[in-house]
Amino acid sequence: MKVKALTALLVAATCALSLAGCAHRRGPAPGQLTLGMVTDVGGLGDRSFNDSAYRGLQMAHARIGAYVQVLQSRSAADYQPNLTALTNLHFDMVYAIGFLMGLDLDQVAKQHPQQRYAIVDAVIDDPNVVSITFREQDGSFLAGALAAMVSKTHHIAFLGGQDIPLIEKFEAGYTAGAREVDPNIKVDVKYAGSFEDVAAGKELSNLLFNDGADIIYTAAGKVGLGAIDAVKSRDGDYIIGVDSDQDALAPGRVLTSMVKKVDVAVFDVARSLQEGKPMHGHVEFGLKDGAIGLTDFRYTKSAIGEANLARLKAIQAAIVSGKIVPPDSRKALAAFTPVPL
Amino acid sequence: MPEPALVLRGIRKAYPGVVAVDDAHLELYPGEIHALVGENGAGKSTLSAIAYGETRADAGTVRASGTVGLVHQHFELVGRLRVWENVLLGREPRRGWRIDEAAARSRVLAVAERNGLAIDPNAFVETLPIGVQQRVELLRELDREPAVLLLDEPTAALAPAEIASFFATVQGLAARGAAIMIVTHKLQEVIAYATRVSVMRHGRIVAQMETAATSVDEIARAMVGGELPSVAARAATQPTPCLSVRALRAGSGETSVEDIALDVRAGEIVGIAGVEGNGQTTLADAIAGMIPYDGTISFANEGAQIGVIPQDRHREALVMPWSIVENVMLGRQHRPELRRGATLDRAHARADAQRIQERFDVRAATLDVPVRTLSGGNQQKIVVGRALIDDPNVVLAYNPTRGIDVGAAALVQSRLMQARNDGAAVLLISFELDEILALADRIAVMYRGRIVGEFERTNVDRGAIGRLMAGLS
Amino acid sequence: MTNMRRTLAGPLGAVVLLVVLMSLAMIVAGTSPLDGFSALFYGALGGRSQIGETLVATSALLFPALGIALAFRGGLFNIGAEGQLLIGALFAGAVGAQLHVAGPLGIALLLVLGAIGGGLWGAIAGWMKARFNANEIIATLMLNFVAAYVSLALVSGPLKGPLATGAETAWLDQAYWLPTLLPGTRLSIGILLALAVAVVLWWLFSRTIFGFELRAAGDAPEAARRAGIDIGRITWLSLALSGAISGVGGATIVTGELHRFNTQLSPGYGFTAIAVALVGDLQPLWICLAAFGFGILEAGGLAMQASAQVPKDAIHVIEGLIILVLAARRYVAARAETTAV
Repeated sequence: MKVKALTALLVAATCALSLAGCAHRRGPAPGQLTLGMVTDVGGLGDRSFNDSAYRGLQMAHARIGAYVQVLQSRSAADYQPNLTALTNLHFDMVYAIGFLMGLDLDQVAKQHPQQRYAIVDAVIDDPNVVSITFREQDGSFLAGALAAMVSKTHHIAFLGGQDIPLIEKFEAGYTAGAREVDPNIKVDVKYAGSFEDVAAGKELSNLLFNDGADIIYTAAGKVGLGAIDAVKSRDGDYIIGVDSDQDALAPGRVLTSMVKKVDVAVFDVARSLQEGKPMHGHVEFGLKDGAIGLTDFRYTKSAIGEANLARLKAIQAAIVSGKIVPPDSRKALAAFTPVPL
Repeated sequence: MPEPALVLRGIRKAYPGVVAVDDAHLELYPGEIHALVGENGAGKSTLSAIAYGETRADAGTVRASGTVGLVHQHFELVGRLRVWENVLLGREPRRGWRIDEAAARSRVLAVAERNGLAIDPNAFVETLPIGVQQRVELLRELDREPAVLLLDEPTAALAPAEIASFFATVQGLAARGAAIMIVTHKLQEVIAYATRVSVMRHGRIVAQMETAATSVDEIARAMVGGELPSVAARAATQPTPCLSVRALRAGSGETSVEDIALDVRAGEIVGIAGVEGNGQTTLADAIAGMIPYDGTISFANEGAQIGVIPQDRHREALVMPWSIVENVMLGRQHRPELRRGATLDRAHARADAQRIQERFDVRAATLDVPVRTLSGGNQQKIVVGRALIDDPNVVLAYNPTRGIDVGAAALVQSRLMQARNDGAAVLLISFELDEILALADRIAVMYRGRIVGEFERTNVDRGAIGRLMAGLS
Repeated sequence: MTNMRRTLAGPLGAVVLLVVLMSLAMIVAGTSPLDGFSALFYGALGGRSQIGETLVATSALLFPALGIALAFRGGLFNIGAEGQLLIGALFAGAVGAQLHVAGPLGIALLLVLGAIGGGLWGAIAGWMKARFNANEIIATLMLNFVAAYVSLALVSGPLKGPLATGAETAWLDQAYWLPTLLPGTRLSIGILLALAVAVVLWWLFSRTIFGFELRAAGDAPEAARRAGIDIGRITWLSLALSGAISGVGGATIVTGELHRFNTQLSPGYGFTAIAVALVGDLQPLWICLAAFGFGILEAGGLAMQASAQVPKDAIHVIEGLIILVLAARRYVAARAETTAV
């Protein structure tokens, strides 16, 4: 009897509370552009492309009034459920952040041909997927050219995460850029075999510095944070950061960062949708879109010098104009010859 | 005549499938000791629960002149608390927010003294013998000064000496004006100590008698509604060797057995007499193959079938939440006639259960009710029926009639005798000497793990057996 | 009547409790329960794709719940379904990534491997109990951790897929994917296998000698021993079978939905399944219903997070509470049973 009464009370309380709560309704307004995003395992707060992509969504919210929703993935096992969950809520566009999600998105996209998707850093051959990639080789070319100008030992290095085609673009562009400036420069290349092992990043970059390299370009996710940690105690040596602006992580010791403005690309895709001219298929973003580039050297301007900065500007103009075509693979690098400016 | 202390009028209580109490009338007067008897399932427990107010009747009225107290058959004591804590549980005298221990102790002592019960209020209950624990249970009710005291099977767990002193206490209570009702199976005690007796059968009170003017036989006849089933006659058999135990040594500590030599022949019942705790359990477990042993236990015929009636039917013999049919299969699940490949032949099991129900008069609404819902006597009938259904060569019966009513007990004994007549070797271990004297062809007496004497049925000496059981030679 | 009420009181009470607790969680999260529940049910049942996701979760919960029920009926509190599922999935994923046989044969092989893996894991606990009288609760619980670390070590090292960043194997060849049951969803025919297991278990419990002996060992161990039942054999066998069922479940996730092994492939299915088994009153057919209910929570919970901002973890907390309540209720009932006699 007592139990029954208690149950009735609880049910009543629940009903009362649910009516009371009705005032705070959240969710998209009718007609509002709705954008969903699934992070990769890095999640929000990775200070890298997940954060950058989210900035793009916030831009879309601020400038074109989009409704924005993010689902974070704790592991790769969450990708499919998260993508499907947003699909089931009929978002106008669902962004998959990171090439890691490529196969999962391919599978989900085939099951939902009516839904629009966008993926960053991978090319998925489905009619309902916009594949956003970047001409990382362009920015890396600039990074390589700058490194060759600044290096005192004529010996620089590249530290990659995993040896996959995406990272190869960084390596090839960087090496070619360095040869553009100094055809005889020595470029050491090392891969950490991981994007997450911070300790390995520190270890490997110390190794490279001790071998005589004085500048290391990292394209290795969190591994790069280890390299930045290593350079803090090495006067005269530099790291070139990647993806987002990492200059402030070790002011004066991070020469520059090759930033990949995922936010710009994410926003452009959303805007195209809003304007009724949605992008299709494979879309490449590069220097001329402002989606790739070096930071503004705020801690290292004097170390680089005006002359070098002017020369860098000229190289950038040559890339945008098409006079220089940075290689995007080791094969293309082998065929690359410096272009006299 | 004084005013009755408790009046039950037109009480009816039905449970799904069974009417437990039907139009029962009962009046209890101050100063009387009233016995309520009946077979298991006759409705005694339900009626006393209604009188106590624990169960609500479907119809009828209950009127009591004062508090009603109830002492349960199974003690409801907290073993790790002291006597005074148990007696006053929930009614502790307080001083501020603390229990006033001194006042509590003296109050318990006062109640004990008033009722002539010796007790140490500081003792931990779990350290006390059963008889003393019952005193604690009684004190708990007496502290509330009940006008009516209901006692459910109060002597079931007591030793003979404890029984006498218990009834002395009860008679004292009655003399001081309490109305007392005792629910019991033990008809001798009814005749010896009660003033009146009410007999229940099938939920009704069918007879009410002054104990001075009746007899055990008359009460028993009223209980079963006719003549008791008489134990099957002992047929002449040609005993041939069947079970043979030599130099058996098993167990450890107080209950170990040593140097046991025993023969049970087909067509005879061998009774093991003895006081509880002298190794009988160890002997039975060794023969049933439940524990390791030294020595030999051999059966005359290869692959002899052995039907076991374990001592604890709730724990060792039955799966309480299971139906009668399923319990009838237990232990027989590999018999060829019960299996069809990897599955059980339930139709066959149901037929077996039906046969047991008929042979043993098992009272149950259907064969699919959980055995938990049956009375103890009916549960034991199933256990015994299952042990005998496959015509075993050897029957091992451990206290086969303990705690069940007279009708069921007579039936069980009769079926054991029949098994013997049909050529089974029956080993009967019982703490009730009367049962052994009634059934056994030969009697062995166990004391401290050894067999200390053997008697043929033809030259039994009850006195000698009693002395051997007590360890006197 | 009383019996019916007794069996229904638990599950119904659990549902009422669930609704009340979830309402409170929603209010704490700042959403009205009305919105929260409509998001939950829309996300779980609002369309083909939603139902697909719900049934994916149902299937993932049903296997371990049935495994748990098998052990529980035998009186063994197997709370190691999570580890057994993981090892089953690991076996299937590790071999599946390198397999070169015909498709259907390959799928069958992977499912059998899942059963072997999970069964092995269960049998270890069973052997520890039968041989050393180890407490099976502790043994199975601890083996969950062993399973997690063993799989993490293997999949971070030797079994790691070439492109994987987290702890996962390479993807299975498409030939080894379980066929899709509901087109346009991730739902594979694995759920039919789960339902088949439920029917087999029902038959096992109610018809077979083994099931009879198992239940006897669970309901009255001493009477079972005296009925000639080898309790030690029942112990390790039922834990092994229990683990095998969970292991097949893991293999089904690998071949059916995820198409590779990932150490995080279960968001605690093995633990939620305890609640599923208890709510289903340990009856295989009721468990199917309970699994569907919890599938709604799992799939709808994600949608609720996406549209009503109630963290999905709130649902897991609540499920945990339900396990606690139901387990306590069973424990009390068991105590009452033993003291009543």
